[in-house]
Amino acid sequence: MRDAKTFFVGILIPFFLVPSMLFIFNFTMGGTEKSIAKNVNIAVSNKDNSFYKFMSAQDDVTIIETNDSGKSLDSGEISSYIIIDENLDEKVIKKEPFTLDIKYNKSSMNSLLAQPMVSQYEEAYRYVLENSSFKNYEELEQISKNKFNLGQQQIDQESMDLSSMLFMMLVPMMLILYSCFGSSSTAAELGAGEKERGTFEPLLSTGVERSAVVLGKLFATAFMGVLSSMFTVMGLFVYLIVSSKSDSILSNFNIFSFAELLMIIVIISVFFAALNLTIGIYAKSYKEAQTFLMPVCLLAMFPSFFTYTLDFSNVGFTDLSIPVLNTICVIKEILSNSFNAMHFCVVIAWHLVYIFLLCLVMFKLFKKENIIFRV
Amino acid sequence: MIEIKNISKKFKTKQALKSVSFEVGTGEILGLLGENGAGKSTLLRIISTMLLPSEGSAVISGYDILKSPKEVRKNIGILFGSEVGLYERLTARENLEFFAKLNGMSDEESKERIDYLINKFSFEEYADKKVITLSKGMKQKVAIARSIVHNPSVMLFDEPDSGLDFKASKIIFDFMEECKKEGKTIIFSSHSMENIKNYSDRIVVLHKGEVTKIFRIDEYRGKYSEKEINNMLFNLVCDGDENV
Ligand SMILES: Nc1ncnc2c1ncn2[C@@H]1O[C@H](COP(=O)(O)OP(=O)(O)OP(=O)(O)O)[C@@H](O)[C@H]1O
Ligand SMILES: [Mg+2]
Repeated sequence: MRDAKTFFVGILIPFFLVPSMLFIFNFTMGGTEKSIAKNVNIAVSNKDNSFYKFMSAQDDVTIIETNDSGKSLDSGEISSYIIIDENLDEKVIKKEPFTLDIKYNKSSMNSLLAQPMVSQYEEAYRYVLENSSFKNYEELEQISKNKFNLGQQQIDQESMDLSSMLFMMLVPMMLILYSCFGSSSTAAELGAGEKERGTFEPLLSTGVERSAVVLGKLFATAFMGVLSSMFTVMGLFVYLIVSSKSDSILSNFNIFSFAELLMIIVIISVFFAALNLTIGIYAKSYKEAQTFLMPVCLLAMFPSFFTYTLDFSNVGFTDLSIPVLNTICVIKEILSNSFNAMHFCVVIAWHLVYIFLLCLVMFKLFKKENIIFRV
Repeated sequence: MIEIKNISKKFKTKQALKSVSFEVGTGEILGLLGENGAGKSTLLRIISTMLLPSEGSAVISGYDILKSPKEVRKNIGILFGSEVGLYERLTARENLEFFAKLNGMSDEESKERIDYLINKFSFEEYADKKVITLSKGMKQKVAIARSIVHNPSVMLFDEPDSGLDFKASKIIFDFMEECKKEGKTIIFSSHSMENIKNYSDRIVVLHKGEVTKIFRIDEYRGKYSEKEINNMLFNLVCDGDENV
């Protein structure tokens, strides 16, 4: 702990970042959820058909009359506009394929959230048609009046999926980001920074083993990284306690998950510290080190974005060997309460291997005079 | 005891040192003289195992710099010329303590030695101030103390007088003379002809990486006037020839 700035960047920010993001997220989502839970307003292109009748029969769907569907979508008056096949009923009776084209406003949260529900009704409609027998318009009309109440349940599930998706993406991302970011300035400082200020040579000219110098630096760097990421986890934990919501994604998060999370975070922090320090030692100057280290953090964060769809129930051992990606897998397993001890151990073992290899690289760099004197 | 044997050093295309050989005995102070870029710092870096020689080797207190660099490092203290290289956020004393620890000294030993050095170099006044608040000369004194905190038998000083005022300079060189009496082996480089003349037993002149002259200043005193000696040194440094 060198000064106030380090304290702020290393501890306070990570501590409050995740909780505040989750809080803001929940707050804004909360309002939207309620407003669509009540009702979904839609408009249709033509009314004289069984789908219109089907939708009218549903309690949580209101069909609005509109002349300009685009405008209504933009203004938020309706959440979806459905273009119904011109000859829908005719095709339905002949068992021919038909189209129901659902338009929505991609920039409106309300519209996006209504989307799955409307689709679900479309599916329900098709399901009803497939599983009932009818020969004429009257019979068709009759079965179209079936009432479903998927609305409420659908929305709960969908918004939960969305918030859990965000949670699953956000939390690993923040944890990874801070385990990397937390040590990067220390790494730049202890590597290139020492060269720049001329403290490197005196340090190396003492009787201390160079490997001891490397390990000492690694320890100091890792300490900062572990501190930052640990406070991120702590922030998350405090949030969970304070919010004390029976939120289904969070409720299964217990003290064991917390311990597992801490362990994985410590190991990845040490890994990032080793990586950052290797770069810090390689760089000529503090500035150069920062230029190299910045993309590392961004790259480290990147995999969180495209892995949220990853089905980690069938991750292979090759997947588990990829740094960062494997950690995200394990973090997600922990968060979703599908902890897999095997995966966990494999990932920790891989990290130890990587840390060891990075140490070898650093030892090697320390032997190269053009690296040590790259000023 | 330092034996330098045919050391050459090439940086990519630049030949910084060409087959440099000389010896420095125990209880001797050797002055290194040479213009900017002559290779003084490079030579001292090689002796201190910071750089590897391209050819040749050196033996320090019986240890070869190539074969047992770690032992060499334990037996030398080096002041690097380029920067003072102190940790600015620590105090002068903390810097000394840190290096004492790195050199494997016990707390007692280190305290005694550090108090002795602080007293010797008379910086009691700012020993407990953060290095960042010190002036250049103050830092230089601390850096010198730091380099020899473990009381090594071989001391290498690259421009120890840089940034020092008359008084500080005298303190440092007086200290070196004392160390010499204790049987230390000392090499120092300097751009001050006065300090070189006054404090070295022998002088080695480096010119473009080559040793052009090794001599005792005493041999010239009496034979030549001070002005002639100065002229001669000037020519040696700048052209590599005596032309007395
Ligand atoms: N790391 C390095 N890489 C490449 N060339 C170098 C390096 N260090 C020194 N040199 C070159 O080697 C030569 C000798 O440099 P050195 O620093 O030893 O000179 P010096 O005698 O100490 O000069 P000064 O009086 O300016 O301190 C110079 O030409 C310098 O450019
Ligand atoms: Mg020099």
